[in-house]
Amino acid sequence: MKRKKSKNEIKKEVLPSELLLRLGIEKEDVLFWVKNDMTSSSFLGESYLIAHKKGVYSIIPDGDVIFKEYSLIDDIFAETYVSSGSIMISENKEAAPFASFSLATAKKAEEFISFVRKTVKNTEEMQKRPDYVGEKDEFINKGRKKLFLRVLSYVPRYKAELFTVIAIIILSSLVNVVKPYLTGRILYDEVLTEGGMFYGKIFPFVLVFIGVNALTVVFGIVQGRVGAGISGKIIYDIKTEVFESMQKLGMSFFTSKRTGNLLNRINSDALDIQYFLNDGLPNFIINFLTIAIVGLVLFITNPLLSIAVLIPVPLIAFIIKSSARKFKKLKWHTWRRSSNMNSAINDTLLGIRVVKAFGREEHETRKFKEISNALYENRVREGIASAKVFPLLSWIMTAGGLMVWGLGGSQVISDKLTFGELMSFVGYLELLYNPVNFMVKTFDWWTNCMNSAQRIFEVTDRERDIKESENPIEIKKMRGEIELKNVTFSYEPNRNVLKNVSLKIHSGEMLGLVGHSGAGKSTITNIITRLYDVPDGEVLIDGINVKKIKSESLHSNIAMVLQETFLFSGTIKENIAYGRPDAKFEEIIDAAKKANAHGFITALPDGYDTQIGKNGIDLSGGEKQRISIARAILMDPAILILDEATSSLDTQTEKQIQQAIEELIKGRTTIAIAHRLSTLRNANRLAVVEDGKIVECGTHKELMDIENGIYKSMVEKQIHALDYTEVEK
Amino acid sequence: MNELNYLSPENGEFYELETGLIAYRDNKKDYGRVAVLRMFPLEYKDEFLSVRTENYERRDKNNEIGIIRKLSAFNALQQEIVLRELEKRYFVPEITKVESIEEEFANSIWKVETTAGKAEFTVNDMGSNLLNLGNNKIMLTDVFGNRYIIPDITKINDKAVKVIEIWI
Ligand SMILES: Nc1ncnc2c1ncn2[C@@H]1O[C@H](COP(=O)(O)OP(=O)(O)OP(=O)(O)O)[C@@H](O)[C@H]1O
Ligand SMILES: [Mg+2]
Repeated sequence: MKRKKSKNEIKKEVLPSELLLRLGIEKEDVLFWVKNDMTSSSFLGESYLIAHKKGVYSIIPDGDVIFKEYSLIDDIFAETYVSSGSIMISENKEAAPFASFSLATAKKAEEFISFVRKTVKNTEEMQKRPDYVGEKDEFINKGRKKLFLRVLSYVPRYKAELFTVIAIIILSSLVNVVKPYLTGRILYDEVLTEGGMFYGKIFPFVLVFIGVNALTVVFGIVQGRVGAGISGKIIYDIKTEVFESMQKLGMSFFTSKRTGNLLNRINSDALDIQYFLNDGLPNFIINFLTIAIVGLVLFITNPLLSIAVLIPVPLIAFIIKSSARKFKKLKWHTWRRSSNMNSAINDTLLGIRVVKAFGREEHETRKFKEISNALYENRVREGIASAKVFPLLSWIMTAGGLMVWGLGGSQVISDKLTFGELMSFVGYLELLYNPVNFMVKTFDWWTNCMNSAQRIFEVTDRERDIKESENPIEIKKMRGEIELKNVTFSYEPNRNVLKNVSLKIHSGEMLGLVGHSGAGKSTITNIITRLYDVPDGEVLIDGINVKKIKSESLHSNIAMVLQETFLFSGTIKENIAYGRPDAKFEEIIDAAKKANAHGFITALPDGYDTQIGKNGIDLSGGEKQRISIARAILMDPAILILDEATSSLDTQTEKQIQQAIEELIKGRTTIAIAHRLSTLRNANRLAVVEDGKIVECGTHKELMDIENGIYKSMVEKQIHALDYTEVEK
Repeated sequence: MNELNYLSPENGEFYELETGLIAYRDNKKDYGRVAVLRMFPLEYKDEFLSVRTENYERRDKNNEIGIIRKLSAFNALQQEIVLRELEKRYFVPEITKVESIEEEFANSIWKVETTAGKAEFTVNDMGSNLLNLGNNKIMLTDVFGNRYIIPDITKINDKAVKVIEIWI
């Protein structure tokens, strides 16, 4: 397979000098540039975006040029569509298309935009930027061999076991070769023939033969055991490595569609590798050695007959190889259909309440029948296909056998060959044909294993996107002062979720964040906890940029209580102590008490030792919530984040939890997000988030005084809510 | 304002701004630049269109001006303006010829000719990024999220069909 070299290198692209010539500009005056990939909103092709010191160009080689002077640019932004996007520039409040790009260039377009923005802001302070270095190809492909070696590189850690396996493999191949010799040449020529070396010693022969067979079995068992041991350990190593790297990766890795896919398959990928190392590889070597030794022995003893034996081999290989594709297709379909079936079952079971509530049982049953029928049909097709191929194969093998019988028979008659030797040959025939089948299949197996390995290494090799700074600052106990300075942030290129947000929260203050769904409230908390890094602006805690703070300090000082509480499998005690595994029993109980959880926990048969999610103990939403509050209380954090902590609860439970939360927020900087405004009655200040911006900020009273204020209108809309009156005081 | 508001040539018109962008005005108001979105992009190309004010990305706001049930009700010029906007927004190259597909581990590298010119792209894990839309129509999504349509799989060369057949 050909491979372009360039894929493995970091390309350093150069801005074509013809373009500079055409524009009549100097290379030195180009501040930043990007190679683009569309020439219009409906055509792909090479084009360039150039930030010159006077303004920006969008230029198509042999095509149009657009120029905008910095002083005229009000704003530059991108719109993204299904598979493409536009860079828009507004002049005098009127936006006009500047350039189109495909999603492959979205990231570069974003860099370009943010560069131009900065330049427009302070045209004086233009810094010079080096030539744009093309992005490193994310999907660096290491050659197959390299990948294979890398998988094998885990093996030498287990030298003793490896040595045993290799020794056994060689011994097994030897025994394999000896067997036909015993049952042919020795049995007929030496045991059954008069004058043979062991003439008449049938009983000892049978004993020897049984002994040899027993050896095979013993070798098989030992190899299986030791091999399973090694491959198990290797997989353990690989999985641990994957898990460790996963812990270090930023959130964006998990939420991105492409990489999310990777994770789904890690387990089955690891299994693929394990099976291959366990069964595929050793058997491949045994078969290979067997074929080599047998081939050699045959050629030495009887070249003519060996050629007859070998004739069908390429034919067999060809048939197996060409039917492999068809089998692969059928196998894939079967796999896909059975996974469809699993997800149908899963959906129905998890959503059983919805199914029943909407009376859709029949619909679901019909859907299930269809899927299961499709699976059945596919299985049948698989059966039919193999029923065609395998008889053909065995026919060819039989034909090969007959040829040996015929040729060999005539040689026996003309005394060139003993009958025993002929029998050995027939035995070798099988030794040759079966491995061929296996070897061809192993090739597919190998490809699969390498695919899996590649996916796994893609995870382990991924660089951390949230990096600990070189000399992280440790803060044992934070004061809890939070400041956002001109923060702009996006999850996906070109769709800013936070737009130039500035916000200051004082130590010990409780700030309520309100706003419509999707406004960016949770996102603000995500960047404070540094689940994501911000590209523009700064997030400061106690006056220090969070990027410089030791991640451990961030974790031990900030606690979150979320709407979807997540409890880990384990006991209630372990769950409460999750952030502080060293906590004393008394502290755990104290925290649970403060969280209003002690009561229901003690009432459980196993109390604090109750296993969550096992033995039918399933806690209610409110109970889980209180456990997660206890967890936060126990951590005694300087900063507390409550994101919709009480939104799915009934009023009675909410009251209890509200009490728990009041206990929790004492003396801590708190950011609370809630749709039910009454929940925020204790907040010192409120900030209204809309469309990624903070549009109003102040005390309840101040915000109510704004004419046509957003907060005011939100309060008015909720005025009929039962528990609203409490907000007023 | 929670009811469906159907736009018709009687109550308003689409026109083109100097910048080449699409705008809408009715007898009450000139909305300036608008966005037109397909509600059922896979089923209807020029029916069930949603017309929104410019900042349509703000999902929280009800910024829909109205719905076009059938674009054909409008005059030719207006149809053209709307279609141009739709084509930009729903730009997806259609593959007319497959030059080569190189399979490499879980990735496959495609070199193709499309209605929008030549393209080269990488699809990771065809199992989840190749979608059969029915009627021999296939949609591919590359590693960046770009989509490509094969309008009729029976019309592209056999070798390419062989490669993707497995996944269909
Ligand atoms: N992981 C993500 N990847 C891409 N986009 C995201 C991600 N998380 C959130 N968004 C988008 O960012 C925007 C802001 O989301 P955010 O969760 O901050 O809203 P919110 O104000 O907390 O809303 P809600 O009140 O419904 O919880 C939304 O448009 C959402 O679709
Ligand atoms: Mg939220």
